[in-house]
Amino acid sequence: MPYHYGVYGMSLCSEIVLSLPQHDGIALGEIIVRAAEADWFANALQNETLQESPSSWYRYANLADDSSYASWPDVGEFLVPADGKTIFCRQASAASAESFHVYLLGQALSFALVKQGFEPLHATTLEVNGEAIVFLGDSGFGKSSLAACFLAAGHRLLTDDLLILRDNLAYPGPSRLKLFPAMARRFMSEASRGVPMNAATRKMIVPLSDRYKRTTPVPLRAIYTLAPPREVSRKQAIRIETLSPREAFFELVKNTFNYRITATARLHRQFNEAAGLSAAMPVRRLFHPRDVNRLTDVRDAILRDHSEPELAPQELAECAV
Amino acid sequence: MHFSDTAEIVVSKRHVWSDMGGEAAVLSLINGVYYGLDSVGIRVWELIQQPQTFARLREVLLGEYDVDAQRLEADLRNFLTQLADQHLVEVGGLH
Repeated sequence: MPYHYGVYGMSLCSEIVLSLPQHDGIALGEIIVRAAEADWFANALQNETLQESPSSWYRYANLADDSSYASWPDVGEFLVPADGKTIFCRQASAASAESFHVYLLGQALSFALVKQGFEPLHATTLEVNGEAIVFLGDSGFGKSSLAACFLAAGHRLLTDDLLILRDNLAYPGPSRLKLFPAMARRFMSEASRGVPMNAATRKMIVPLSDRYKRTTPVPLRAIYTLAPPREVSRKQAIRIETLSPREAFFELVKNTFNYRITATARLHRQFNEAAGLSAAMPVRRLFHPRDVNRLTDVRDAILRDHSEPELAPQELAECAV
Repeated sequence: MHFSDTAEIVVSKRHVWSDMGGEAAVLSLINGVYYGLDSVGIRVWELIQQPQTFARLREVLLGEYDVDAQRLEADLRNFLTQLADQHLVEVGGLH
């Protein structure tokens, strides 16, 4: 393999060039990235039925040999064998390298990680004073916008989208942030270098320079789950509530990165990891206004909460509009 | 689901669960559905770790909670039906 990278604590041996740092030191595991042709994928999918996702735009199949296949139109296709040690990939001709890499190092990699026994979370994670602050929430809940606001204040991104936690350490992902153009222009001086993610969204992939990026693991400090947009408004008061362990458990399960692998052993492991994490680390729900002009207030409220973690359910009344 | 007094109820073997400080989460390993239990739900769950008749469950719970008997019976039937629907309990002797 010509290229050796490090991401999410894993060593990635790749046939293709990726925008990742070189692998350095001990890894949690190894994944090989191989390029494959369209014919190879067609052959692997013979006699297999692809599922169309009703809520998304990708196609998926769990093959007879327990390989996982996923494809996104105009982005590419991926196949991960049962042992999770290899990702076969093909970039669609219409896709930019940046867009293809987002799916390779996100969705496709999540199959490899889960098959190797990891439980990735769907989270954006910042480094604040040498510790990790995790934001959970579906796409559109405001994780990336909040992250951009933190970066503008001099904090660094650990990972956007996929998070690997192991032994209370949060591991760094690729050096990029997926952002809407308005957010990128407002908070990031590198906004002009962003490229469109795909045809289905206006989000851009904004590559981050070193000053914005943490490249080594940091201890986990706090987990916030963002309230859904339907539960908040532009005039929403900033509010942070500590969830009960059971509520925290369900938030962690809900924010698993990969729902597709449902083998009993995986479900069992997912349950145990979420139960362990919810017992070890308080999870707080953040209600924040859907107003870009209030994001710095939200960031400051989180930093105050972060610096005083023992304060239990907290009403930040002074921030109420 | 109708439970006669002699219907015997026991938790399914194919699940995992965790007590989380007075609440609990249960996962059915048959269909991958997660289920949350409050403190009363946990008490029922503890009781049916061993096979229990519906009548015995009702009797024990009436002894432990200050609740109207008809209300308790309706809630218990509803709860057990939900657990059965998620393959979290096995019910024998249904009539």
